[in-house]
Amino acid sequence: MRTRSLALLALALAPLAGCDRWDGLPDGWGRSLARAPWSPGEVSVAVDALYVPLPQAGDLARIRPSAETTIVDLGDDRFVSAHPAPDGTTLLVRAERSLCDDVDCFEPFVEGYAHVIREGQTVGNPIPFGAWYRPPAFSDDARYAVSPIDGDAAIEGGGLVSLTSVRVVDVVAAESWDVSVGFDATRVFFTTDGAGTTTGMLVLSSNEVALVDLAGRAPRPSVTFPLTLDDDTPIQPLDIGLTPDGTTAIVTMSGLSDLYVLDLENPRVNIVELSGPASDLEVDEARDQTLLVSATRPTLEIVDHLSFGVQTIALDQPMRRVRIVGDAAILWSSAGTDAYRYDLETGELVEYNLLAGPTRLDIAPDGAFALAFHGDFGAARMEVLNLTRDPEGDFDDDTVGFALSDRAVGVAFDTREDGGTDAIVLARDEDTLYRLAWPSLGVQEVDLAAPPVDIGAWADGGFWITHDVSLGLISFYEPDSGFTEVAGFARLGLLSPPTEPLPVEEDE
Amino acid sequence: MTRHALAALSLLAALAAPTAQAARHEVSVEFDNRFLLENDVNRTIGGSSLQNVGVRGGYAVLQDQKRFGLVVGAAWQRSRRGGTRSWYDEEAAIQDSDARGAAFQVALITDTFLVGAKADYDVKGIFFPYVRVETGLVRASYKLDDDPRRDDNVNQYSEQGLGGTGIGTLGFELMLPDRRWGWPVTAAWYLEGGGQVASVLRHPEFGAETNVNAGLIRTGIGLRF
Repeated sequence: MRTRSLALLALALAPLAGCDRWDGLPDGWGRSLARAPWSPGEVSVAVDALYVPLPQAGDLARIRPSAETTIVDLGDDRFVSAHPAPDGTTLLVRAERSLCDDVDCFEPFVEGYAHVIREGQTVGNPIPFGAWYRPPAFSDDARYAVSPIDGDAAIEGGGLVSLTSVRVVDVVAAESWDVSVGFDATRVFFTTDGAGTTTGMLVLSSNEVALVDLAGRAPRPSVTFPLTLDDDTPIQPLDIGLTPDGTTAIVTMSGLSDLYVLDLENPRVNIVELSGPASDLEVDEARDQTLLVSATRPTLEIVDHLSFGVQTIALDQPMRRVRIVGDAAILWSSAGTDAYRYDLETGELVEYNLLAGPTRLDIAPDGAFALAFHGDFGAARMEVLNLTRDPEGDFDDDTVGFALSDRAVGVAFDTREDGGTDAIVLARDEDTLYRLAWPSLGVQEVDLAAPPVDIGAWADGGFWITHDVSLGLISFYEPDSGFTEVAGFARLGLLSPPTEPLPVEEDE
Repeated sequence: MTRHALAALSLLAALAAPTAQAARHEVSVEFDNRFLLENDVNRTIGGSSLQNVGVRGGYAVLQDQKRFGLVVGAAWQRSRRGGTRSWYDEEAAIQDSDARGAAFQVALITDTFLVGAKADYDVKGIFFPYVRVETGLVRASYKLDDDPRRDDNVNQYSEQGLGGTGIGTLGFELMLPDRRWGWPVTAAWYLEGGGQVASVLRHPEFGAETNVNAGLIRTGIGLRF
């Protein structure tokens, strides 16, 4: 009897074996997520690790190729965004905390905080940092992070918020304060002393530019430069540059051909007339001048920092962007089919005729060549621009075109042992990495584990690559040794319940 | 006395006669529906109840002729539920047709391992009301897979929580045909209802907790011998 009962039991159990194969999981209860499991396009790079947002879990993951993935401890706060300092040592993490001030918690509200993170650890206490602040701008020495107010943002939690203030965070001391600068501040530009230490900032606001002393923690600007005498006609500053000696700020205006020259030492405003509204500017520190291009006028204008005279160079098409690499300025526009190389020493202008306006243009760090990308799936193209003189001293203005399966999602540059530069190109939905060698233009294909999303430089000459994989995949690519993959980090806390609102602490 | 009356009297006499009680070892397959008291499963997987399929075996420990019977046994029940979780960047889609999305499979598989006893009462050899008490272990496994079409992709993750549980039920069993007919094996069907308590099962890596405290209704068919 016993044998018979065991046999019957085994017979009943047998069909259940093999029901847990990974290709046989139960289905039928599908639903949508409120947020993405992770954000492959929003990786923050620090010297010690990559910091990857996990929006669904409300966390920030710290990822290293040779160590276990960890979650940055934000206490009771839910991660919102991460902002790395330029030197890669510090991360300013914006987070939100759900609170309620009534017993039944019918109407929870959210308060914003900022956490200073170093090496995966929180430094100091969370800093009040409302959701109505724009993403912070960091000073080059990573000492300060400054956020203007976003006038269109919702304000929760009650209270009043001054629309004329910016929030300053001293990242080293983990402290913050507000500075009243002007209405609708949009841009922040930091000033430094001769040693490169940040001393102050220029804040662009509607109708004015404010100079603020940061070292003294001043709550108000030391100097305010009015941009108009008629407040009924608002003027919005667009972009700003600083002369190499730090005494003068050059400010372009949205929709105006006026270039404002602000003397920071003897506060006064001078206006220089351009041929058209400037769309981009670039300070040429080596030659003490500023280059400006206009999206509406086919000109390159060069403003000398001594006399502030304007030299106008005619182009065939208006250019939207200008970048200086070495002794050359590269100009291009997504709305046109031309690109230019302007030699800052000789004044020689080389025109490149592209097949279409580039959606992106990447310039090799040594200025030897540039890659222009345009088109989409089925018609994606990459054109190589030769920015190097040939042995005869001439430029080859013919581009070399390549067809891609889809548009480029990431470009990086790798220096070879012989000193030459390779371009690394990733195309959307293509699980292949393309290495383009310069100047031979040979292409090497390297298989990827999954289609890529983004690429960036990693320590010791390597690269990190994020992939379009739902539960997370990052490849660390060393050109000499291959790939190290870190996967599955998006599962951490993926099924966490919503954070319960905290009771508001009563003031003692 | 008419022929029909004589037949009725004979039937009544037969039913009134004491049953020949014998060992009721059992093996059964069963199905139950557990009405969860907490919201954990609904939040992570979906649904406020879990359906289980299981098997049960029992050994009758009372061999005498009394109407009361006691069966000790063990059971295993399993539930499986899962679905696709998807996300789509609708905001980016409005601005740019090249919006990004994500999708993965999530599944919850629970296994309940029970040992216990059932005390029943023989009514005419056909109807057996009973009470059952069981204790054991419950295991909840969450599985995440971002490519369910394959069995060997990189991102397959499973996390288990294990805890104790107890189930108590009241029910009845119908056993046909009657053992008095001399058949070595009889068929049975049962229906019971009760409740389950269990410790909270934790899945720290996934950030989930599973609470399977529930009311339940169970039915099964099997063989008695």
